[in-house]
Amino acid sequence: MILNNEKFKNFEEGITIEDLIQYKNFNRNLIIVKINGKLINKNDYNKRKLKQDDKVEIHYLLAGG
Amino acid sequence: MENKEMRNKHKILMEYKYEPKSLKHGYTDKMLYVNVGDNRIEEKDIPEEVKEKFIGGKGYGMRYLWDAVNPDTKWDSEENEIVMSAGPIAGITQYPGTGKTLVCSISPMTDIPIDSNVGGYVGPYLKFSGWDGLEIQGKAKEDVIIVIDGIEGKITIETAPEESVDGHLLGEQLTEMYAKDEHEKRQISVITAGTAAEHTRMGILNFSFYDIRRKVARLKQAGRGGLGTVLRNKKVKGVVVKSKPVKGDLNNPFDQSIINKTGIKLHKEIANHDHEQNNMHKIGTAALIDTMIEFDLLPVHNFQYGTHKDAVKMGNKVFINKYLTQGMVDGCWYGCSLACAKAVDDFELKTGPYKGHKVVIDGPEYENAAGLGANCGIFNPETILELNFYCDTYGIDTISYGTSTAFAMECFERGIINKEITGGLELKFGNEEASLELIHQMSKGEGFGKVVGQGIHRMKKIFAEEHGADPDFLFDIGTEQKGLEYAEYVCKESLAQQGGFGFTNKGPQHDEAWLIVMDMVNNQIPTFEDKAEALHYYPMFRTWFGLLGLCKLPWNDIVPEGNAKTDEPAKIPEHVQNYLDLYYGITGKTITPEDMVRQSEKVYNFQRVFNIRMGKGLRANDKSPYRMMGPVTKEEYESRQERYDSQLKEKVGVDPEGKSTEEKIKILREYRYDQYEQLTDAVYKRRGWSNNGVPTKEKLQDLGMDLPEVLEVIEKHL
Amino acid sequence: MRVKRLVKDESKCIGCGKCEEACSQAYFKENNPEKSRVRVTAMENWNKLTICTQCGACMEVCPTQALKRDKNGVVKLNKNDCVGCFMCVGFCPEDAMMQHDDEREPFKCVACGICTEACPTGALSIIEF
Repeated sequence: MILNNEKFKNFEEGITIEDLIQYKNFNRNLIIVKINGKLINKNDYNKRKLKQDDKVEIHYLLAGG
Repeated sequence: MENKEMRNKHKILMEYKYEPKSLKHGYTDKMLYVNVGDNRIEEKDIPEEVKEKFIGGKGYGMRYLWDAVNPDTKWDSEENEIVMSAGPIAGITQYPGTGKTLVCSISPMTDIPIDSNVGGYVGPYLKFSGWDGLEIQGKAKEDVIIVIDGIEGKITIETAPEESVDGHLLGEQLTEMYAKDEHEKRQISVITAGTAAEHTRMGILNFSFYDIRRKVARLKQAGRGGLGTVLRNKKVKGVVVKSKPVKGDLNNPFDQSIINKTGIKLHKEIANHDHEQNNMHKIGTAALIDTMIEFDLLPVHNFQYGTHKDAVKMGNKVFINKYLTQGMVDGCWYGCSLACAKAVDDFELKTGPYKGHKVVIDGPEYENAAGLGANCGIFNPETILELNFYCDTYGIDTISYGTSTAFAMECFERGIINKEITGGLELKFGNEEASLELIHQMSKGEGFGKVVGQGIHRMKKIFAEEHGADPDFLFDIGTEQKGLEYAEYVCKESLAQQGGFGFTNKGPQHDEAWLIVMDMVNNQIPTFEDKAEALHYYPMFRTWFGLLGLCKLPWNDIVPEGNAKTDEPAKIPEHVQNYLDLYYGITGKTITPEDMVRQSEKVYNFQRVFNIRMGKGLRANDKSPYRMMGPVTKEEYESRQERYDSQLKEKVGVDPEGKSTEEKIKILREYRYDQYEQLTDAVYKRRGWSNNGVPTKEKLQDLGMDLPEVLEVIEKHL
Repeated sequence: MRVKRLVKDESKCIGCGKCEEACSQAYFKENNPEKSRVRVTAMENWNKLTICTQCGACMEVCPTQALKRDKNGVVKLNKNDCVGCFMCVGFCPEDAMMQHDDEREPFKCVACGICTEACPTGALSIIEF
């Protein structure tokens, strides 16, 4: 499983986006989540189980400067 | 002395009467030229070819500055000019962020052109007075002001012996002096510098706008590069621009209806979503403080660290709840509903010549809080606010001041300088009194403040030559590049942002590229090619705003619903389309996002060649001091040991086990220097530049910028 | 303070549009719903009436203080001071601040009562409270 363009080391089959958010301590109010290019709704974070060949993007869309 | 009395003491040195030309599709096609040396006032027609290639704003600034100077011109030469221009979209009132002016000159800090971006009403008011831009050249014999009256059609150069120099006073004096009554004050905008601009290289220009609720002239800043220093060197105290009453269609747009529709759409977007997103309405750009703390990116102790245990004392909630007045109308030009120009009211100053006065403080913007505060180890919001106020009124760049002071403090902490050298100032990190003392010294032109006011580039030289400091170590921790201090982001772990700062034309300012989260947090641009593509697109896209008179904050500090679903959410495609619609609405021309980039690339490459012409536009000038690239010291390495050790293992292929910190620093450093060189190669390739950073003839031809004077410069380097 | 304002009873609205006609005729000398300060929108099985409640949210966002309450508490626009930024249009919680491309300034209900007289069912009335 790739997370943000890097191989995710502690992958276990069946973990959810919610698990990832907690594990990596993402700020859920500021992120957008895509799995294989598809946008995932906040409500589905704890439903969608991840697979070995999934490509996950958890991005902060932040302005600045 | 009363304002009336002060005005009576003016001598009119030159008067020029004219018929203010109306705007057509965003332009008057007239440049106002004022020479305060021989008191000449002239009207120049802006040629169609200049308009086509340079558009306006920074484009006009660079074009007219190029023509005014020669390769030997210094910032204090007679022929150096301050050129300011807003751009064709500036002055509409319907869309947020449409009042910006770009100001250009040869910088006292960098010796190359600076371009600085500023809000307030000057740019639009110049347009409504008949002028697409203003050139100020020459040096007056005594302090003068320039008064541009767009209602009467009259321009004067007048002596102004009695008026204050400091921004907050002069702004009030001139606003009151030239308005016939309270109501007319809103039609006046004033340019000022300040007393510290006379004794430092980092002087700013304040551009005012009259706040009718607070009944005070608010100040926005053209902060970077020392423009205020140039203004005071020319013995110009200020510029007054008086406009006829503002209406939404003074630009005589090609299609007003699309402008109306797009503006209302964005107002609704901000009304509905700003509070869920960045909360600009409540706190302005200081909203970034908490985010930077969270990501370990807040500059602390001259960029050594990314956060501090006391950082929470200057967090968002503190400023919103305790200091920033809520519920005011805080746009810096009409129609800005993002309204980030927050202010603190009735703040009683504790130090300096205005001690005890209750003042309005414009800010703090994020850079002020980070630079005046955290980077110097200061986390007291009231000290940050006091420093903010004095920087504005004395006319000092808060970024250069903050970063320079942080550098001086680190030198003091490391024993490179001592109390003897600082004249008794205990310049340790966190010493609020010392920083405040420095700023007052800058205003008076005395003490160690004068040295710090020279900026890091010159401080390094002074400390090495006069105090025996190790020049290599100073080079490592001297957080400046091309002569300009770094803006307030810890880009150590973001190669893309190092490039974002390093390849910027003017010096390390973040206006061109702000990639730090995209790179470091999201890892969205992992390869060199990805980074090079971002370091092509974003600087070109972001500097487009400066040609048109636009503020880029409404582009990306608020996003529309559905943005996340788009292919490239970071580009905010719906907002890009908004700008294309505004461009069409004003000019009648339909352009694509690729056209936008191309328009910007023309001016960008011209500016790069201008840098080369003035001595600093090559690969060697794009290098970065190591403090901004990685851990210089043992403490820095050990503060992020896990990250650095794993990078050694995974990226460099070296086992950190058993190695000393010093050894690991050395290995990491070599790796990171090499990475930066590879990035440089990739970026130059993408931009169409030679390996030495010179725009190639082919690239210039492709852009239609193979002008003879441009080719003459690059020919020597190819 | 007392505020004079329109109130609506959508259950009585039959969607005839006479209010819009009367309003636009009075202030713009044309029969044009897009130039009316009160609006009728046909919904699935009812009619929505958009009216100004004189809440004053527009006053708070106006950069020139061109919007002010008169002695009846009615929020009125001083066109001379208006710079046509339309922030009031964007921020109005009722969508009752109106804009039309023929005009540089927006326009709003001034609680004059002309629409209430034109309305055949009493769906609109003026009150003071």
